[in-house]
Parts: sequence; C-alpha cells; structure tokens
Amino acid sequence: MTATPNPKTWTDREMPDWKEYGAEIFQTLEFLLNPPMAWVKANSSTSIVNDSVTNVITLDQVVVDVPGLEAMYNPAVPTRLTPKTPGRYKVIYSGSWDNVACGCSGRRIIWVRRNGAYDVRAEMRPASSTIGHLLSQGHVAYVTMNGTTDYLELLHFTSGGTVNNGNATDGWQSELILRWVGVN
Amino acid sequence: MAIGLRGGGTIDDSFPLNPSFPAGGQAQDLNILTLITYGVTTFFAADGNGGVGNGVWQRPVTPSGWTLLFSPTHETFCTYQFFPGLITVYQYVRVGAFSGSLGNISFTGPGSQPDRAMCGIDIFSCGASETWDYTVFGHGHDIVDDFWYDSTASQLGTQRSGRIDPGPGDWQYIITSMNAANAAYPILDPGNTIYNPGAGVSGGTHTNIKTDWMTSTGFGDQNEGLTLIRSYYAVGAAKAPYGSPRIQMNTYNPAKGSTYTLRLALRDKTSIDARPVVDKTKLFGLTSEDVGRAIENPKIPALNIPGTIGNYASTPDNAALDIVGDIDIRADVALDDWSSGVYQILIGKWTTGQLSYRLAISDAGFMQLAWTVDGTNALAAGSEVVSPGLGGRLAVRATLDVNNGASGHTVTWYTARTMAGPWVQLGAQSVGGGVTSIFSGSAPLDIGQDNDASYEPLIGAIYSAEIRNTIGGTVVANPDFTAQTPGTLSFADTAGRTWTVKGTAAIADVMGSALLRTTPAVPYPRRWKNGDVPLAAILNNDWRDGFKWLLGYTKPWFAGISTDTANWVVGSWHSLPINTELIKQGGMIHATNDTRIYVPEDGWYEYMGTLSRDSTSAGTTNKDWAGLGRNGNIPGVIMGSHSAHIVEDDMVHVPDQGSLYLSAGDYVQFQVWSTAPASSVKNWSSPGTQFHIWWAER
Repeated sequence: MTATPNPKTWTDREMPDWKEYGAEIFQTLEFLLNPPMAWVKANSSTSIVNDSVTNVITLDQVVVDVPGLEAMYNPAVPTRLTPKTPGRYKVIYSGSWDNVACGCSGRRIIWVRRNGAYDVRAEMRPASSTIGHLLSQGHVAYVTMNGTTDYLELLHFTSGGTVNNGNATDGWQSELILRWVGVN
Repeated sequence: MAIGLRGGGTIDDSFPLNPSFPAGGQAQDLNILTLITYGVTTFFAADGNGGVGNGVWQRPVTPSGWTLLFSPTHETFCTYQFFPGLITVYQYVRVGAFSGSLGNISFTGPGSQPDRAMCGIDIFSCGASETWDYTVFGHGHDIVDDFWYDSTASQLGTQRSGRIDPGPGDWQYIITSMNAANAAYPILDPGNTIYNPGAGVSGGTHTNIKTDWMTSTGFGDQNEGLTLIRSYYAVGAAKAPYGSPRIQMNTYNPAKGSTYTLRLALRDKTSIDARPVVDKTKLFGLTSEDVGRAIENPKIPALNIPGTIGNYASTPDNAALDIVGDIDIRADVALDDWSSGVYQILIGKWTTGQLSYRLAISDAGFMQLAWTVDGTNALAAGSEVVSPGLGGRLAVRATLDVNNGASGHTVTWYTARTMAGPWVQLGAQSVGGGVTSIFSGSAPLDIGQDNDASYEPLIGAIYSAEIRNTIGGTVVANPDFTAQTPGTLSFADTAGRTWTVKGTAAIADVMGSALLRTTPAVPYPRRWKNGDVPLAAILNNDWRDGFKWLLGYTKPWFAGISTDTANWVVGSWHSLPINTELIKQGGMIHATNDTRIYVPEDGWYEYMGTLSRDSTSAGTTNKDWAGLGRNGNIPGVIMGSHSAHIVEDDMVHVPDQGSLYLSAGDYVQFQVWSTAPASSVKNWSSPGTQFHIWWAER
C-alpha cells in the first residue's frame, strides 16, 4: 500500500529541516500532479450471456496505469483494477454491446462492482433490436478503496439474447477508468 | 565565535551572529538569530555583572525558559527568549553598538570580538498599529455551547474561555463588556490573571490595564500596556515545544444579552510578521485561517438587542407607516436562536389597542405575520420553518396581499442571504378567506420588541429592516444599521424616518461574513515579500494547509445515501432526505435525515448523483427525473432524466454530474420527480441512491 502524502505540522518556532521540508513539497506536488490512475479497455470481446448478472468484462488493453509495484492492473486477473493507494476514487465507466449477431432487444445494463458486491449501475433499453452497437458511456461513480485488497470490476448485462461486448476491432470498447481524488 | 553560555551549546554559525560590529558604528538590522543550547543555559553579559547587570536584563523564574529584556531606559529594546534546544531571536532585531556598560552583551571567542551591544525590537518606532477584535455575545446560558470554548483546555469553574495566541510582538488589550452582569477579564495562559474584576462586577471598558504578568521579573511595559512575548512559556510541559502564551478571556456566568469584546492591538506592525492566531479553539467557531479571513471580511455594525424589555430601536408613528392595504416587511437578522421556544419580535407597529402589523419569529422557528383590522383582534399567518444557515443570519420577508382577487388574502414568505436578495419564496403561500385590511394605528414602529408585551424581545442582531407600502412598493422605513457608526443612538433612514436606539440596545460591530464559517476556510497562500522570514507557523498556513486541502484532508465533501421512499410523490418535485452519510468533512453541514446540505465556503462545487428505485411499478411506463435544488429552488438544475422507461427491479439511473457556484451558507438538495412511487429505494450496496457534492475551485 502506498501512503498518501500528509504534510507534517511544523511546530511554531521549529527550524525546518530543509531536506525534509523540500522533500515534503516535492512529494506532495508529485502526487498531486500524478495522482494514482488507471485506464483500461476491452481489446477482445467478451461474451455477455443472456440474463446473467455475472458477465465480468475482460479489460485487456491498458491505456494508463501507475507504473511498477503500484500498478492497479494485473494481467493475470484482467478483469480487475486494484489500487495500491487508499482513498476516494472517481470511477468512469463505459459499456459496449455488439448486437449485430443476436439482433435482440431487451435491457442493457452496465455497472461497476467493488469486491464482487457493491455496484453502481446504469441502464438503457434499446428501442430496436436492429441497432448494431449500443453504447452506454461516461458514467461516473465515487468509491472508497482501501489500497490493499479492494478491487473494481466492470460488468455488462443483457436480456433478449446473448451478445458480445464491442471490442477494439469493432471500434467500440468497454472501458474502466479509476482516478484517485481524495484521501477518504 | 561564541556567545557567553553556561551549560553548553552551540551557535548556528550559518547565521552571522556577530557580523562586523563597528565599534561605535551604526546599528544594523538582522532578521533572525538562532542559537542552539543544551539543558539549562545561563546567559551572561560581559559587563562583569554576572548576567544580572544593573537591571539591564531580567531573568524569569522559569528555570529553563529565559526572557531577556532590556530596560526601556535605553534607546531601544531587546527581547530574547531562551529555552533549551533553541534560542531564537526573531523578527526585527537591531544589532548595534553603543557605549556604556548597561545593556552590553559580550561576544567573545575566536577573534576576540570586542564587546558589542545588542538592542532589539524597536517596538515604539516601527510602523503603525493594527487591531483585531473578538466579540462574543452572551446568551444567558452556557456559553460553552457557543464560541468561547477550547475543548482542549480545562475549564476553570464556571469560567469559559477561548484562547488566542497573539504571536510575537507588543500588544495592548482592551476588554469591553456590554450589558454584562459580570465583566469579562483576560487571563494570560497558563493561568496568570491579568485583571479580574470578580463576580458581580458589571460590564465596562477596561483598557491599558497595567499588569505584572511577568511576575518573575516585575518587568513590563508598564506605561504602555501589556507586552506579550512569545515563547515565554515555551518549556511548559503542556505546551507545544515552543509554544506561546495565550490570552484567554473569561467570564463568570455570561449574562443574557451581554457582549464581550477583546481587542488586541499590535502596536508595532512592522516588528511582527504574524497576526493573532486562534489556536486549537473554537473561538467564534473560527480556525486560525478564519481569523485571517475575518480580517478580510471586516466587522460590520448591527443593532444588537439583548432580549430584555426596553432595549430596542424605534421610530415614531408617521402617516407613511399607516399602511392599510398591501404591505411588504423585510428584516436582515442574526438571531442567537431561531427556535428559542418563545416568539421573538423582529419589527412591528404594535401597541396595545393600536395593533397594526408585526413580523416575528415563532418559538419553533417559523415566520409569523400578524395584523389587525380593528387595532385589537389579531389575525396571523405562519410560514414554514426558516433555515438561517450557518451563523444564524438570514434576511426574511413577508408580504400581505389584502385582496388576492379570490375573495381572500394571501401572505407570501421569502428568505435571502441579505436584503439585496435574491428573495426565494419559502414554502407555500398562506391564503386566508375574506378580504382583509390593516388597522391604521398610532403605535410607533419598533424593532426588536413591541409595546404589547405579548411576545418576547429578540436576542441577536438586526442588520437592517424595511417596510414597504404595497408589495415591492414604496419604501416607508428602511433603517440600515450597517451604515451607522457604532455607538450611534439616533439617525434618519433614507425614507425619512428617525430612529432612536433605546435602553441598552446598541449599534455595535459584529463579525462579518467570516463569522458564518465553521471550518475550514479555503487556503489563501501568503504572498512573500523580500525580507520575510519563513517562520514555520506561517509556512503551515501556506503550502501545508493548501496541500492538505488539495489532498482532500480538509476539502469540503459530502456524500450520502437516501433510502427515502415517502418523498417520491408522483408528479412533483421532492427533495430526498439523506439518511446515511458516507462522507462529511470540511465543514459540510447536514442534519441526518434532512434534505439540505449546507456548504461552508464560496466556490465552485461539483456534484454527482445516482437514483435508485425498486420494482414496485415494474412493467409500467415511467419517467424519473433527478434535480439539484439550490436554496430551496425546485429544481435548481435538472441533473438527468430517464424518460419513458419500463421500471425494472433494482434499477439505477446515473442522472448526471455537474458543477455550480455556491456561496458559504447556501444549501443544496437532491431532488426527484417521478411518475411512479418508490416503495423501496435502495442504498449503495444493493445498489442505491447516492448524492455527492464537493468543493472544487475557488
């Protein structure tokens, strides 16, 4: 877990240790200018099983991630983002359904899920089954992550027939963005 | 080079302690001098007097804390504070050379510097003075509940105190107690009473009280008031390592309606680089940052009314005030308690047998407009409960349309942050049957009480009031107490009415908008100038607090969950009560299960909401809209809509996000409009209705 900078309180009359003082400013500015953030997309298509609430989308294209040990994305578990810094995160998530194959109507729901339990959803209902691609974009949520074990997933739902989610090949990608915005 | 030290120690040679003192030469200005000492250190002068030279400098009893003061018999002062680990001669230090044995401090060591004299803070000749006032109003009840309370400090009996760290410099204090049964008096932390008038001593002004608070020395600027020297109590175990003495102002059982003001006057503006800091107190509900803001939001005069009969403002009856038809009454007030349990009179032309019109705040906090047709039998209407917001100040307004065109009369209620508006209607109109009129009586127009004695005088402050003949019509009285000089007893308003302040009511300064803040203030980084010495405390107030803000430790942020269903009334806008708080920090104010979220700071706020409903109406065609209301506007902003959808189980909309500008004290509400009720709106975990709002930019 990476600690968030927390500038110390210099005691009145205390003579600053300039090295420490400078480091605090540098580290804090660095953190504020580069807050923990990850942006992943679905590069390959995931089958969205009809009437299932467990369609976790594989997000196998990393656009941005915190480097090194702080990385939120683990290729071994390509459906999750696991922040290494505790705090409050802004979640931006978008969904894509490729209806060409199924030609189905019904409900389309996108949501994010924290630790397999909590979720925030956005729903749309296609007016016509002839729509080739459906997008549900730019939804926002705020979640608090503990910086160790908490993870976030992106899920899609469909009713009316199994579809695939759109992928890069189709030009439509589901995506999940996680960005640190505050300490709690 | 070494200064005379016993007990060991070193000098921070990064500072030129004794840079070329030309014998008999001109004085030099040094900004800061730092010596590092260890243990109990004895400082001695080189005049051969063993460190106690002819009263030149004094040694306090604090064994490991030292104060060295030069006698004012010299042309300048020196003020040093010594304590283990660090000796700091700070601020404006003038090092010069002058002859004579008195006051000389020896610098000896390598190079055998000749004796040199140091003189210090020239407190009498540098710059203009500056003052800060702190005012608190007694309520007749436990003042701890209000401002003068430091939760970190023990309370002395029934005395209540707030503490102010005055910072280094030469200070004078003035205590003023108005309408007080027991005067306030200052105490210099940690417990040295500067002046104690004792219980039962009435209020008054006490200024330039001579004090021997430095009891160990008997030294003080006796002729000039009080000299406070920072770090004098530096080694006190209960204090910060290099803490400062603090001023407390204590009272015995503060009297109802009393006012206590502590004025700190810094008499040498340029010798100090810090303004008073209210440290770890809830003084006025302000933080140290707020004190700075308070200076930027200077005090404004208002009519202070103590809540006892005979203390109010009045203007005689006048034909212009004898309104018999539509009337428009407004008042900008700060009540100590808006739901005090008694009716408090704001303004009225209301004398027994000559009852015309009166606006009051009820025991439960709603506006009441009363009038009579015959001078005796009162008619009245009441508003919804008003929400004064932070600090208790609010402009209220009631209009009476005596003939609403439907064989009735209508009272409409409004509130605003100030008399300048904008006026926001409060709740529904009060419509009564029958056309009415107002009695043309001979009573004077009074503010703060009436002459019928049926209601209580108000306790608080009135900034201004206004009576208009017809709704939004001609102004017939408009006393503006904010435009008066404190202490004014009589003045004419611009409508031609002459007002007299009665009894112990008084036009006096009250804090401006800064008083409305709780905490914290948006950081305002200091602008450094050449020659500034970056003291740690000031650094704290600059980048550290700014960083803490940006990192989210202190930034106002509110997030809550609503599982409300009752307010999903079909076909109209309703605000959702937030019954679970996820995050509430940075001064955001929300009463649990209430709909209103007050913001503590001016600025741009961002918000986000999700709307959840269950399957009650599953399968039906439905519309849901979400909105954001500001100060009672419904809706203020349409956040998002979900039209003509089929209601499904556990359906959640993500209506919208956005930003809007809010002022401190404004409130917002998360609202819903729906064509179907909700029987089980779910929370975040299953999933839910959430609302977030946070400060984003200044």
